[in-house]
Amino acid sequence: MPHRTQRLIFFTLAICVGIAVGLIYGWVINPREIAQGGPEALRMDYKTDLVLMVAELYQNDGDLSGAQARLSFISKNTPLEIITSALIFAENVQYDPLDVSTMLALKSAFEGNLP
Amino acid sequence: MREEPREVHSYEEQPPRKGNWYLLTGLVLGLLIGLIISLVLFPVRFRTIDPSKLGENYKATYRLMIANVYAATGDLDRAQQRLDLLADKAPITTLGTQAQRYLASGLSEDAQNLALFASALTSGIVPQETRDIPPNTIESEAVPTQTLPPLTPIP
Repeated sequence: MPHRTQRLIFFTLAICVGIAVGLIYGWVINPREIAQGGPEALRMDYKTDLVLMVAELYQNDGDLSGAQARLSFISKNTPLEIITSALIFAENVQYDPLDVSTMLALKSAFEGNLP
Repeated sequence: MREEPREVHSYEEQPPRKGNWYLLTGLVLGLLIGLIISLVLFPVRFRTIDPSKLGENYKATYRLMIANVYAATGDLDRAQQRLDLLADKAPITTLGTQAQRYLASGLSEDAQNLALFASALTSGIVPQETRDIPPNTIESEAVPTQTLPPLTPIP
């Protein structure tokens, strides 16, 4: 094989190896996190705490529409879906029973408000 | 006539070695292409984040929610833990600034809650941003509460 062709092949192989390393680094080792993401991208434990905050505020003021507006900040899902997901997570990680009951009260309020 | 000797190049002769720098160049070039593809063109977008990575507007709403919950429950420890998640460089100053902004926008109740939360943090646990103050220094955090209207008494 002529030397020039051999160098070209090895050069191309080196580029391919470099691309592979770059992709592994950017997608696996150190992927770029969403720096300006919204609450939808939050990890489930943080979302659950947000739901708890909404429930605590509702417990204080009884404002269901305000609670709905706050829940829409967390996710685009329906309030019941958001609260249910939070409750499932809270029970799995054994949240304080008082916190769980606070969220359950909010869930009941939304269920009672269903047409 | 005498023939001058000709130089005969054998096909087996190799030209002088130019080194293997072309391999390193290829590697670096490929690495750059790979990084551009993975970090710029097609980054991983569906990665869950913590509150410190939220955009500033979302952080403001988050901060307000914490302040409102503190106003409702009075649980300062929990409120501070939640505020710490935002990893603000100067959390108390940020609260105060946000309070001023809300006051200017006519959101007096929210502004009040933010300012009260900031005051509670100042008078309660020593916040991270003031721990580096040298001794014999007056530890007073300027919380802009003077311009806020007085609290409406709870009936």
